[in-house]
Amino acid sequence: MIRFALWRIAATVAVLFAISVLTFLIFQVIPNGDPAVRLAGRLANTQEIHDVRRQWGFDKPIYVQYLRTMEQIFTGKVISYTQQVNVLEQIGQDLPATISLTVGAGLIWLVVGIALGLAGALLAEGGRLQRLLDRLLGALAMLGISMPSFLLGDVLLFYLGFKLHVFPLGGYVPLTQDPWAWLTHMILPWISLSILTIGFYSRLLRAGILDTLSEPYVRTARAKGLSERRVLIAHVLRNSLVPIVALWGLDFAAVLGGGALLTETVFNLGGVGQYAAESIQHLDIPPILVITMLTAFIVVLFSTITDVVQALLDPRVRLRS
Amino acid sequence: MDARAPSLSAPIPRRSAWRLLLAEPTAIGAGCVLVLIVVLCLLAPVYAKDIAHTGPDATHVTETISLGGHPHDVVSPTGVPTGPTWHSRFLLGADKTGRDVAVRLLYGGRNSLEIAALATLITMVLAIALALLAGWFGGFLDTLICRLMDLIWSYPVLLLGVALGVTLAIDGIDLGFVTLHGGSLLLPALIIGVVYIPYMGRPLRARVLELRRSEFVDAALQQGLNGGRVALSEILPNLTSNVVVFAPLLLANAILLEAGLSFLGAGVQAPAPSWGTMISEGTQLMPEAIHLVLAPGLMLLAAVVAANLLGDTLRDLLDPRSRRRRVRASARGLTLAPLELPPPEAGPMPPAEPAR
Repeated sequence: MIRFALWRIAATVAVLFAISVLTFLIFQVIPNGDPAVRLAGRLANTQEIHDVRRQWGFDKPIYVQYLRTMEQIFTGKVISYTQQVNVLEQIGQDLPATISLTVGAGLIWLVVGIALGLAGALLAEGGRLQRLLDRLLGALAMLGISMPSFLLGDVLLFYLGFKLHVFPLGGYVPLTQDPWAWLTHMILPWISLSILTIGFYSRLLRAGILDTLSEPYVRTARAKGLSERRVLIAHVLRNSLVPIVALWGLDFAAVLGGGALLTETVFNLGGVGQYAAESIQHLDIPPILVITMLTAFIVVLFSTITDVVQALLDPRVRLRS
Repeated sequence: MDARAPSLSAPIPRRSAWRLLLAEPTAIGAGCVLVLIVVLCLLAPVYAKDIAHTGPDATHVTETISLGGHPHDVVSPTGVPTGPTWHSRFLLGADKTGRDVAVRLLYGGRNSLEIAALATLITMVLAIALALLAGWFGGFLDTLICRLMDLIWSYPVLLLGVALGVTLAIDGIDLGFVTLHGGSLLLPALIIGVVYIPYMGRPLRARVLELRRSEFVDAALQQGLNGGRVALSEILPNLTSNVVVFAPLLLANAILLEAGLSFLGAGVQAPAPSWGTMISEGTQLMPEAIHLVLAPGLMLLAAVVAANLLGDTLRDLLDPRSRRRRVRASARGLTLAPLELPPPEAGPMPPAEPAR
């Protein structure tokens, strides 16, 4: 267990280091990305640009710049180029919207995904009508995994927002300020973000359950007289959930770390993902650097957690370094 | 004996795989839709010239068209473009600068599909090459390639794509042997192609490792063939079924990622159309003109669903562990060869990280 923990910490540090270097390089190799020009403003003359370059250290070798930026990130003093605000504070402000989006959507796609997957598998084993329903579910799942979230978001916003006035037209209201408004503002983003993952999980779970049903241990469980319900839940579902749990951890982490750029932008949630999208459009390196590192950190963290959960769910899985 | 009928879990001969595929109505339907979309988009110049009588970038802001005998502004004085007319001109309406949406839809589809196809090709070539190098030579090279793919994999796909797209869109990139300019379609294709390498490269590498341990590879080496030759003549052909399954799924993912990148302004650059940029433009004009979102959106959806369905069916038919393949094969009276190779690693295919 200690070896496992140490190994994971080392891996996390390595991933963060590699990602930060890669991000830094991507933005450093671009000829047009000189941040001094943007920092100095539109009307700056050569002298002013030169001063800015010296002041911010853009004239230093790239590894010095990298180390300086890393130092600023870890001491919490990193400043964005365009708006010149503290990046960590900005992310702190954006985080509630992203957390609201992630927690709600994550729960929806887990519960609905499992329900539909289970339904599909049970229907597939049934009679003619049931199999037809299963195929319908399969077609819907296929539509779901093929649907870009921003397209679905646009369509939902138009018909349910602009036309029917059922939901507000985007934006974010803090939960503490007005719980009802928070809910109505979050429902459409949750749906847009979940559909794709629901489609994926339900297909994966259905296939997993159908595979598991033909396992000898399921036959044994039935043979020893367990009720069908108990066989399904304690033996079949428990084993088929293993890959879902692993995926859920990664998907949840990716969105939590600001990975939902498109959904957050369409609904103007003002979360971390939207901050990332806007920063990228302005070639604003510090926020991008921080957000990619944040995402990577959360992903590694959650993959560790899911590894542990998987080991609990499946006795064959052992924690290994 | 294993209850899962091991005698059936061997690769099907290629010809019977074709026959199985042609017996699948879903696969045929999906293939037809995909071909239809490609042909329609390739005919974009014909449609523009002979039916719509306008180009993809030609604006008609101040013009009027006659609808049922009444003159009708292409773009109203308040800036609202006309919706679908269902006539030869402005079949699917106009956008805010009075361009014909149907014409742009086809030209944009050409761009989107070209990028997606190129990206798929880039991913396939690079992933196969890296998988062969890593799996065959092993050792340090294997570690290096695997870590490199891990790095791309752990980087959020959309962030990496948008970061590369925005930085490169300004000035393009000089690769030494070829220079890509800022507006070049090759640029998004290259970005998407690189981003999806691990998606295909990692399972392929595992497959190469498996094949390397098999008897026929040993036999070839014993006969004195050199290693590189064996990799190309014995291992590479055996990757075919894996590659065939991945191709349509990659295409679907590439179309989606292109749309996502273009939506965020990091893909196809204006004024060139693509489905993603068109949806993005439509979003900005949202309450007035939903047809600007729906037209490219539905087209995109149709293409992605068709590609996904095709890939899905192919996987079911070619995966030795799949139920459907066994059922279909026995229904058509095909006997499958006895087990020669260990079946591919257990578990379903890893999902490509979606652009959300």
